[in-house]
Amino acid sequence: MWKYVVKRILQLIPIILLVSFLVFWLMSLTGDPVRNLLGDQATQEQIEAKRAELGLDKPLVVRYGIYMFDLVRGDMGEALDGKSVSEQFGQRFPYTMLLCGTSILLTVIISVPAGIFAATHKDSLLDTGISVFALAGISVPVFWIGMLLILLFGVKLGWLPTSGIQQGLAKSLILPTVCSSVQCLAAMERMTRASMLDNLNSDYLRTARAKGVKEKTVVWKHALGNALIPIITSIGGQISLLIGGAVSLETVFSWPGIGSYVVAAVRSGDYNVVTGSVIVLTVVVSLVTVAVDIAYAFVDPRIKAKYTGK
Amino acid sequence: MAEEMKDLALEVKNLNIRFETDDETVYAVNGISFDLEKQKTMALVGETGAGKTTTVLSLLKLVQSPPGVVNADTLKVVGNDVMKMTATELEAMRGKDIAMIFQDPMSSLNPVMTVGEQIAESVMLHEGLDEKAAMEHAKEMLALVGISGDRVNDYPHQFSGGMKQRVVIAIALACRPSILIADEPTTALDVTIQAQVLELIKKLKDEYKTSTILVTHDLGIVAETCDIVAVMYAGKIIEYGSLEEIFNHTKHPYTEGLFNSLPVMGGDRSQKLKPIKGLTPDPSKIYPGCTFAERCPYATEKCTQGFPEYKKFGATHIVACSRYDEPDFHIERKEID
Repeated sequence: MWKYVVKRILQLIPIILLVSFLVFWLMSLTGDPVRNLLGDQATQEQIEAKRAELGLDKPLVVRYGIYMFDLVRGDMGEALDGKSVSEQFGQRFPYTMLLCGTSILLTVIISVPAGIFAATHKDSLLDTGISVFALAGISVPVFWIGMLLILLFGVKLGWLPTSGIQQGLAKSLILPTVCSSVQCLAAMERMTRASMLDNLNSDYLRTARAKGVKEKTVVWKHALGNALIPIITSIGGQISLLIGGAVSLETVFSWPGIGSYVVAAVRSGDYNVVTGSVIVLTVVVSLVTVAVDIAYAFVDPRIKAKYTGK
Repeated sequence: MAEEMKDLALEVKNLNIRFETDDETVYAVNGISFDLEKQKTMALVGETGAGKTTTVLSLLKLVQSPPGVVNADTLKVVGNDVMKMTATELEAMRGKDIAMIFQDPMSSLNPVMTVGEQIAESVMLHEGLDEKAAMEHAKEMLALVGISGDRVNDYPHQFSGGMKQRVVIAIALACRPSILIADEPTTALDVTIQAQVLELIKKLKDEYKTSTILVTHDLGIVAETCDIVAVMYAGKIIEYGSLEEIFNHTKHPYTEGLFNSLPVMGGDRSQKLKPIKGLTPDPSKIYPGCTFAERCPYATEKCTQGFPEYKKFGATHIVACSRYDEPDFHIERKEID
C-alpha cells in the first residue's frame, strides 16, 4: 500500500514540471515586466541594466531552471514591490485553505445526507424540491450569490461582516463559506443521489434485507458503503473547483487569501507572484487527486487488492 | 383446526402480485394457494417468468413496492400473518423464521464487506451475540459449507462463484431458520459444484430440520430433493402433488410437456428434443380461460372459457385442467405404478 502511495506521488513530478513550465512560459509572453516597473521615461540603458539585475537577459529555459531550483528551496522570488513572494504567499495560503476546508466540510455535511434522502424518497415532493434547489445552485453564478448574501446579512441585517476578517475569524468565515458551498452542494447532492439510486435496488441489498437488517443500516451501511466511490471522486473534483473558484470568491469578500493576491498580481503584471502561486496551487490540486485515489482503496477492497496484489 | 395449523410452516391463500408501471400492469402471480408442512421440501417448478421468484419473495415481503402490489387472503409464515406485520416485525422474521438463498451469487454479496461480517450481521441481529462471538459463529458457518474458517476476513471478490454461492447459503443458514427458501441455488453454478451445493442443502435440511421451498426449473434436482411439487405456469399453480404423484401420475398437459422436453438418458440419440411449442403468455394481459390452452395439444374450445377448477386426484394431487371433466380423458405420458 505504501509503495503505491509513494509511486503515485512520484508520478506527480513530471506533471508538475510540465505545468510549471507552461505557466512560466505563458507568463513570459504577457509583456515586459521591466517596462512596467520603470515606466515610459526609462532609457534603453536603464532597461538593460534592470534586466540584467533581475536575470531576465538569460534564455527562458535557464531562467526556468533557476526559478524552479529556488522554488524547491522555498524561495519564490521577489514581487515588483520588492517584498518576498514566499512570505506573502505563506501568510495568505492558510486563509485560502481554511476557506476551502470549511466549504467542503459544509458541502459534505449537507449534500450527502440530502442526496441519500432524495434517493430513498425518490419522486417524492421533497426529492423534487431538493432537485430544483440543486439545479438553481448549479445555474446561479457564485459572485451574484455572494453579493446577495452580503446585502442581506451584512448590510440589511448587519449580523455578519461583509469583507475581510472582521469581528473574529469564525464570524468572517460564515458568508464566504456558505457562498462557495452553494455550488458544490448542488453537484454533490446530485452525484450522491444518482450513486445511491444505482445501489438501492442491487441484489446485495436484497440479501441484506432478507437477513433482517434494519432499513436504516441497509441504507447507511450497505448502500452508502458501495455508493462512496463516485461521492469521493466528486469531493476531490469540488476541492479543485473551490481552489480555482477562490479567485472570484475572495475578490467578492475581500478575503485575504491567494485568490485576491493573484488577481491583483495579474493586473499589475507581477510575474513572480502569478507564476509562484499558480504552480503551488497546481501542486495542491494534484495532491488532492492522489489523496482521492488513495481514499478509494480504503473504501473498496477490490481497488485495494489491485495495489497490494492480494 | 388449531392443531392442524400448528404443523404448517407456510400457509398461502389466494396470493396475487402485480407490477404497476405507467405503461402497463404486469400480473406476475394470479391467485396462488398452497400450504407447506413443517420439515417438508416443496419444489416450485416452472419456466422462466412463471412467477416463481416473485412468489417466494412475497413470503419475506421483499417484493419491491412500487411497482409491486401484493394481495393475499392469507400469507402466514410459521403462523404469523406477513401481510399484517410492521416493519420491525418483518425485520425480526427475516433471517430467523424464514431465510432465502438467492440465485445469483455474483451480485448477491456486498462487495465492500468481508464474508465474515456478512454472515455475522444476521447472527448479531437475531441471536444477540456480540461481534466477537458472531465472528466465531461465522467461522463455524463457513466450515459447515466447506470453506476454511480462516477466510472470514476475506472479501467476496476473493472467492470463486461456487464458493460465493456457499457463502450465500451460510448467510441464509446462520440463524437456523425454520423455513429456507432456495431460489435456483444452483443455476449459476457449473454441474460439479451443483451437486455439492445440493448435497449441502440436503444435509443441512436434515440437520436443522428446516422446511424448504426449492425454486427451480430442473426436474432432475426436484426428483432428488423434494417431497412435494407445485408446477407453476403464468402465475398460477396448475398441478400440485407429492413427488410420486407428479412424476409417476402426471396429469396436466403442461407438466407432461416439461417431462417430454427433457432429453432421455440412454434413449435414441437421433431423436429430436420435444420442446413445448409456443411462448409463455403475455403477463400484462388477463386471459379468460386456461393460460396454457394456446400451447396445449389437448385444448378444446371449452378451455378458452374460464380458468379450470382444481380437481383432486388421490390424497394430495390437484390439477387445473378442464379436460378432466370428461371421464375417460387421459394424457399420453404413461403412468408408472
